[in-house]
Amino acid sequence: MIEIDVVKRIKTASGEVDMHVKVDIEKGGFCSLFGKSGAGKTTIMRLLAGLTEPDDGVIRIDGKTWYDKKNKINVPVNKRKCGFVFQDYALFPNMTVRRNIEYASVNKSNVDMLIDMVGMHELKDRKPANLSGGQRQRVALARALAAEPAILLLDEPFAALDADMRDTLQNELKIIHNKLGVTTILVSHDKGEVFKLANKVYAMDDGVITKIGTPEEVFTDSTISGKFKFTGRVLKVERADCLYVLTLSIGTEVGHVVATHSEARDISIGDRVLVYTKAFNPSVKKI
Amino acid sequence: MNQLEAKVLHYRTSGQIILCELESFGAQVTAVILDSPGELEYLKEGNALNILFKETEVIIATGEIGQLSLNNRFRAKITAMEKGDIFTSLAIDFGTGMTSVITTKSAERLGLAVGTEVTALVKANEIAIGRRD
Repeated sequence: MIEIDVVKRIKTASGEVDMHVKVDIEKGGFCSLFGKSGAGKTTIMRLLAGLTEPDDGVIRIDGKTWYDKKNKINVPVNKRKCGFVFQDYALFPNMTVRRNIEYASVNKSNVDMLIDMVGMHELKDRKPANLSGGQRQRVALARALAAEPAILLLDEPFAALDADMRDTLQNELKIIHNKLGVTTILVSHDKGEVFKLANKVYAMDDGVITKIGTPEEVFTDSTISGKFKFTGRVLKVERADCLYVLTLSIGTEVGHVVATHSEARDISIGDRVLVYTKAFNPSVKKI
Repeated sequence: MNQLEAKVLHYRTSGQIILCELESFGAQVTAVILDSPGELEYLKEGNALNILFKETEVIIATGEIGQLSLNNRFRAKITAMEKGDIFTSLAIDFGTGMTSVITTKSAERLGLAVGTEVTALVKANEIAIGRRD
């Protein structure tokens, strides 16, 4: 269990504000801080890691106090068990993949398991300069996990990758998280990514947490009435006559929806969409 | 999706079904929805909201309309047409714009062209309501 209840004065686009952050994350959970840049997401990561000191409050991880203003407790950065993955993979350029991971590991016998888990077995003797962006992020993830962190902090980890690679690494991260159960916080401004990975979202704006809930609760449009609403992901957009056919994945199913030009105009592959119809339209048949 | 501004005149409920009487740019609109009035904070008499309905559910008629069960009738004029092999998309105006998608076969049978006066018809159960932001 992670409990953060801190106050920190930060500079935002609309001036200085006292950011009051109250975040609770269950052990093994995957939560996301979502919001525009400058909303204060990265500041929360830095407060957790001990890189920035709060003005007041308490940070407790699995019952251990990392920070407590009143009782003058401030565990130093190197004693806080945080694993980090940033957008720019900070790997040691002179070390091989294996050495990079080994260097950070607390248990050398896990290194090969981690290399396999991130699919880098074949490339374990290469140096970072000879790896693609996606491969480097795999190594960065394995290295962060090798330290057996109490909490894994991911700050826009896939933002610099192309859409396909981002998609692949998101899927792999999901599998790894399910397997290892490391409590994870993801900073992201990508709704699709948050939907895919997080089970709890803190939406932030100008240093204030504006919404807390599951991705569905936080992102689903509640401005339209109706009892037949789902969120789906756009797999394909095809022109058909003077209309468009959208192929959508909804839950584990794939379906098709006819859209007009004005609807299809601002929809691209990978977008999250609200699919709704009047409750009068669907027909049901026993199966 | 057609999205038009409308004003709530009144509404009544039967179980979970709500019948809303609305007015949109001078046209009377009836919408039947399945929802809980308590959850729709914008459903109040006199309130402005959006009515939403799919373009492919807008029926087009010309000339005199005989006896029809349809309540929602918009006297409109065609302002633009996009003809496909199978479907034709019509931009129509009755004080505000909406779109209707009908078969090209029907558009030709009715002799539709830009400027033609038509009546657009929408079934009450095809109209959803939404908050106006």
